[in-house]
This record gives sequence, structure tokens and C-alpha cells, in this order.
Amino acid sequence: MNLRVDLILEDEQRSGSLLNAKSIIRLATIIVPLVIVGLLAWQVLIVAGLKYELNGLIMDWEIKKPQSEKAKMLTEEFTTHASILSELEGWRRSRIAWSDQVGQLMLIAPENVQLQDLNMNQALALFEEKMPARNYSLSLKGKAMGRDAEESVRVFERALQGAQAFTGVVESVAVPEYAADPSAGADRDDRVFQIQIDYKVQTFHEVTRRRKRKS
Amino acid sequence: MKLPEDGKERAKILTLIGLGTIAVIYTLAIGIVRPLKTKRQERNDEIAAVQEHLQGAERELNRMMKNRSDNATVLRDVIDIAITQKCVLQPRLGNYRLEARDFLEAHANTVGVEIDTISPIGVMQLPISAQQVNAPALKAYNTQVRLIGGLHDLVRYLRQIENSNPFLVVSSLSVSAQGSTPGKHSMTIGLQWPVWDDSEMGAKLGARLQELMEFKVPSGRPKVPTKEPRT
Repeated sequence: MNLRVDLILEDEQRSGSLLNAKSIIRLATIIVPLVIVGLLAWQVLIVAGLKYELNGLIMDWEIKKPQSEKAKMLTEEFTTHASILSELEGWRRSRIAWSDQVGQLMLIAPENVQLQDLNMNQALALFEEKMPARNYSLSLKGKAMGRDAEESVRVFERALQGAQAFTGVVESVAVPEYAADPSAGADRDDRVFQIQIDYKVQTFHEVTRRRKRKS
Repeated sequence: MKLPEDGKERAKILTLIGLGTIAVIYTLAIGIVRPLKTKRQERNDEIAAVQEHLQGAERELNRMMKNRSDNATVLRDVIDIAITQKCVLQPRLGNYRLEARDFLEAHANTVGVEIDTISPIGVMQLPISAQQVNAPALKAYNTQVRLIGGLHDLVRYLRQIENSNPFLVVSSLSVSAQGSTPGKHSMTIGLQWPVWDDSEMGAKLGARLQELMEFKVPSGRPKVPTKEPRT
């Protein structure tokens, strides 16, 4: 015969384990707020640390700012001086050496051609509305004498396009006037002529070949 | 505090506790965590901006020595052309006329050409484009010279003045044959000199070059922090 004696009533029975729902809840009521407060404190510390770092950087910047401004001023000044030099170089670049042009004219003029009037003009203008440029034009008036007058004027016209001093700078050569010499005492074969020479635009600064055309 | 014995009551209380906890967590998230996060982002942005400034400044400072030297080189070139070689016409008591006349007469004497008259025309501005940022530093001073002689004299004279000043521009040329004296023509040359827009420019550039030669790059600069901002 077995005898069973319950010393603890059923409603008085408890688990023997240390981990039970109640103890976990109790623990959680302490740990969870602590963790939350800890996390919040950590965030606050990070923000405070960032403020400290920012203040340090601002102090560095305050020290460096005047030097940096001086350096920047030097860079801007360099740009200004380089632009002055470029402007100056533009004067050299845009001019045509007229000693060479007139000297060459004297060499290429046929023997039976006599120049009576030479007029060169330069106009300052904007090339493609962007940069200053010089537009040169030259007008020659003269007499061609004898039977070869027409041929001589043609030779002269061609030479004005092909001679060394003209090749790089001359844009076009035209003969707008060619007629019998009306002056008293002129031979019936003598002719008067006018040759018009337009020069390529001489810009103050370099432009790409594709863009460079007579404005 | 003990939870009630009754299961329903206990569930109600637990639900209330749960809702309370959620409310507290939500309040914390909205009231504290979010402003903290915003603040942290703002600080990081500010730090990044200041660091960018500092790094830019560091780059400028590193280039400073080179800029100084480049600046001095360019200035020296400008001064050499404008002042040493006298390619930019300098005024005498605000007047360019005497300086131009001396130049023209000296070179006429060198090549043996006779000047008839020298007529000053004046100063003019060069055309400026709308896109041009800086105002031009140079203007043009125009003058006209009348010579009597042959074409050979003209060529020699032009060569002489063009070679002695590569910035001097022949802006017009007129040669008319004179029937009475076939070897002698009436010749007029229009000339254009570069002149400073600001007549004190030459002196200013000289003084600035002197300053640059004495300039020293500041030392003992603070180090720029390069670390990444915290996230």
C-alpha cells in the first residue's frame, strides 16, 4: 500500500527554476529602462562630442581663414596679371608688319606698273562679338603701261595673293576698277586700275581655325 | 504590488502596462531620440562643411608658393614689356605727345627720314565684348606722322619703328604720288600705341612685384583633421 502525503497544497506549489515569468518581468522592468536611458545618454554624448569636434574645427578655420584669403587673393591677382599680359600680347599678335607688306609690294609690282596711290585702313571691331580684332584693308591705285597692261595687272593681282608676305594674311584680292587711262598724253594701251586687298581678321587672342572667318 | 488573482483583471492590467510602455517608448522616440538624431545630422553636416573649407584652404595654401612664383613671373614679363622695353607709351605729366614725338623723331634720325608733321589724335578705348569680365587694362593712343620721301624711305622707317616696338601698330597708311616730284611722295602713317587705362599702372605693378619678391608663405599652419564625420 502506497501512502501519498501532499505537504504543499496545489495552489501553493511553485517552480524550483530560477528563471520564471515573474522573475524575467521583474528583471526586465529594471534592465529595459536602464538600457533605454543608457542608449539615450550615449546619443547625447555623441551629439556633445560632435559639438566639441565642430568647435575645434571652427577654431582651426578661424586661424586659417586669413591665410586662405590671402592665398585666394594671390590666385585672383595672378589671373588679373595673366590677363594683362595676354592683352598686351594681343597687341603684338593682332598687328600686321606694314614694312614687310609695302616692301614686298615694291618687289612684286611689274615694271610697267606705276603705283600712284596707296591707302591702308584698320578698323577695330569685335570678332564674333567676343574678342577685339583688327580688320585691315588696302587699296592700290596705279597705271599699267603698254600692250601688256592687262597681263601685268593680272600678274600683280596674283602676286598679291601668292607672295610670301601676303600668303598668311591676305583674305582676298580684287580688281574693282580697270579702264583706259584718261589722262592727257596717255598711250591708247595704257590703263588705270584699282586693286582692293582685304586682310584676314587679326584677333587679339588665338581662335581655333574652324571658327576663324572674316567677320 | 501583486497582480490580481482574477485572470481577466490580470489581463486588463497587463494590457494597460503594455500600452503604457509603448506610449513611453513612443514619447521617448519622438521627444528625445528624433531631435537627437536631427541634431547629430546637423552637426555632421556642419563638420563636413567646415572640413571642406579647411581642405580647400589647405589646397590654396599649398599652391600659394607656386602662385606667388607664377604671379611674379607674369608681372616681370609685363613690366619688362611695358616699362623696360618701353613698349607701352608712358605719359609725361599726363601727356603722351612728347614721348611719342621723341620716339618718332629719334627713329627718323636713325634712318635719315625727314618728318614733316606729327599730329596727335588722342586716346581711344578698344572694343569690349559683353562677356568680358575684367575691364581692359590698355587703351590706344593714336598719332599721325607725315613724311616726305620715297617708298624706300617709308619702308625703312616703318621697319625701324616696328622692330623697335613690336606692340606699336600701324593703323593707317596713305601714300600719294606727287606729279611734280616723282621720287617724293606725300606719306601719312597712322600709329597706335598701347597705353595704360590707369596711368599709375606701371608704378603699381612695379610695387606689387617688389612686394611679391619679399612675400613669405606663413608657417605653423594647423593640421586639417581628415577623419570622416561620425554617423
